[in-house]
Amino acid sequence: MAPTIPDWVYTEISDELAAELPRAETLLRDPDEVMSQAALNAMTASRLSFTRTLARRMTRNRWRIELTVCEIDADSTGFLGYEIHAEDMRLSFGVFVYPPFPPGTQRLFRDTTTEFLGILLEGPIDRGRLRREKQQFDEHVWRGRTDPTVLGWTVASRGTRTFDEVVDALTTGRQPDVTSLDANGGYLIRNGGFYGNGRMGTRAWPTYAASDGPFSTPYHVDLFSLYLWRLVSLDLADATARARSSDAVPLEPAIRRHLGIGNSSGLGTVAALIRWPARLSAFVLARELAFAYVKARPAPIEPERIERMHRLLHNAAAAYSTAPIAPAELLEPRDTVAAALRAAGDKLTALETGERPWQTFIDSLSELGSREAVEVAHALLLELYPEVDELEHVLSVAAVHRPTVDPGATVGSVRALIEQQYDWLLAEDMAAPGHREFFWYRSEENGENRRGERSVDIGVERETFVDVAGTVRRLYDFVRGLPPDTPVAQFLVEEPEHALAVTRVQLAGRAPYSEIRARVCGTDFLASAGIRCFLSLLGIELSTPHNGRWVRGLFFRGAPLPEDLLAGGVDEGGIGAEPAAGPVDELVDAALTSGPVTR
Amino acid sequence: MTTIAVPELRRYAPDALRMLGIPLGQADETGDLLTWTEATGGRALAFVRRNRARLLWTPRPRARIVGDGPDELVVDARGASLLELGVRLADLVCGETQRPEPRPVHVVAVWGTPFVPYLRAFAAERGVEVEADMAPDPDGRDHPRELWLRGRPTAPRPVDDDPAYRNALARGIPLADEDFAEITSLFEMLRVPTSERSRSHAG
Repeated sequence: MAPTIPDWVYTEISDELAAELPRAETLLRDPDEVMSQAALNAMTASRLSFTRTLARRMTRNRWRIELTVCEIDADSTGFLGYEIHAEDMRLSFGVFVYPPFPPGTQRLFRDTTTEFLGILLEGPIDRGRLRREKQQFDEHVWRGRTDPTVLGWTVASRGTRTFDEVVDALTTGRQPDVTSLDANGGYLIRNGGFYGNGRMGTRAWPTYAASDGPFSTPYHVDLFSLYLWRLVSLDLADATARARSSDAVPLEPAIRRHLGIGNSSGLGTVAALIRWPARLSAFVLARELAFAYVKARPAPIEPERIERMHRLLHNAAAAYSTAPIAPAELLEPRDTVAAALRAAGDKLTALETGERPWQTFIDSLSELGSREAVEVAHALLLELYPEVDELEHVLSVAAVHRPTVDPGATVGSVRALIEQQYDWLLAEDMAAPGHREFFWYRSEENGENRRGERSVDIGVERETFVDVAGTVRRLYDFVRGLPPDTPVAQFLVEEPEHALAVTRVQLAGRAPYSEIRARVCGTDFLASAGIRCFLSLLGIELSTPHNGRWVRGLFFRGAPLPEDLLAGGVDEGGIGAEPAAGPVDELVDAALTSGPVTR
Repeated sequence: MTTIAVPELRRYAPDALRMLGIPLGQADETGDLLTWTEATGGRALAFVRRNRARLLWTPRPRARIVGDGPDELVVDARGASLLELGVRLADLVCGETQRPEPRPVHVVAVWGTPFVPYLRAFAAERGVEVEADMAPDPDGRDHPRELWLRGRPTAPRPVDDDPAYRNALARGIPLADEDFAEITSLFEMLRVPTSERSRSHAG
């Protein structure tokens, strides 16, 4: 069943766009199609992903980010300090660079040591203050304390092979091999998490998000820390090479722009996706509205847009061709996606006629055999119609939506909602073997999310809430036998443990795309699909499952550099961005004709 | 004294409450109640520390509607506290206010005075002004007693609009060290002991 656009969306957008939405509404995709496990696994970043909305904001408002202190030794340890002017906020970012971990070390979430510690502080660089923060981290790690002048602490680690490769090249006066860097992830440093919004006593996000301030959009401050790590990685490579040789050359701007920041995410990402259904709904709804708006554009489509789409598809195919690979049970083969994207380009030649040319185009892609390519094509179409950017207001509003019980409703209405919105769940046999096999929990090792088997492992009574299917099913079994006119408030006074389930069910009735259509505790649930979904909403590109519980990928590949922000340049990030200049193009063409690079 | 940030306490609260026996399905909304009450000076964490043993018992008190007449709705809380039942009672009053002839809610055998202000703030956000009268507490030991709740429509007022809450959000909440230790230790108790097998399921 195609969803209806919630009324509140219209208050967040211009009259012009609002006038267009009724025509688009009929093209909104069914939640069964968008929220299935297979669909989540194929989801890709778009112009409405949070990294892109942040990059546009930084560019539009010409944020100034300057490296003002650089004290790096030849062993790449030392200190970097950045001064930041973000609209009306003046911040500083102090980075302590520790010695590298031994070769081959994979930093884990539960680790208590780091290679990089960054502190995002209000005001100019204050070395004494930063040293005190470092001391707290060194002595207490995440039990350290700070105060509301600090926006957050963040950690990172080197992508050892790529970092060394780049430094070695620069030290000897040459540029690194971009294809080799791409094949090894396309980054020099891997983000290890941003800890703000009250953690350790840091400043509460609502105090600087209340108005339309620089970080008022959800996740922007977290992602800004990733953006800073990207700069750190580039500046550190340059500084280390300089410290090693007076003949060193700096990294070329095109390569700097091309490189992203590495990321690795696990089960906690899926738990967050499930925990905040109102946010999930708004994040997916904004995308789907944008897709529907574009697919509803009438003919004729301007030739410039078609030409641009052709180029975007070509670039995206190139990016897929050189991206890291993963087993087929976790990920569509990269060459399948790349080939489908190239074939999609061929279909553009027949586009100029028809009532809804882009809808016809997208429909025609289903025969190419790549679900992910269809999602990439959707995302690329948004690049042609930047007016969809205003749908990012829908994303911002989501953060302050706090769903609660509608106490005036009846138990009968709750039952009806379950039958309408959770029919996929009611069709399941919850008692079937494997359907509720796992439970999720947080380990005593730094709260790391893990999965256990109900029949074997300890800790079931302390499970993290991810079992939407089981919880809603239990509610349904409860309310089925009650008089339908029983007020919900009366039911919940006597059976309060169903409050969470009632809240979700009532939300699902007015917020499309709020629930994942999958048995998250089942043996067949692929957590990496949920992780890829969340990371795509944030803006990760070319995410690659390491296994069913970990996903790696790149943020800010192709995003503007500080000098681009000051120039107010056009946002050229995204999977359709031009690859790095120089010999890369030939290598990409070679990869396109000979298949994926073996890794 | 340790200063805790409001979102930090809100993050700890649901897990900590589960270690007091609050069911998973109520932990989030009760976390809001606990955090708001502490932030506005209600000494919610001191309440938890003082009453931890009293709150954690099995079987849980199970409230029942024992009177559903035209003049009042009577709830027997059976010794439950407003920590665990407060949000549900506030919803009950809000639901009554939507009826053509709203009735007062009369609660018997309930305790937990510090959480009464949250009931009123929670209802105000839903456009209901609640008058709350709790029977006197002569010896200050917060025995189970009667509570009357009467609601009438008003203009909605966000629960976060309280000046004391906004101040706490900006500056943090100063906590006695024992209260900070209490909430963090409860929070960490929900974490499951580790093993090599557990590590192999990390993600």
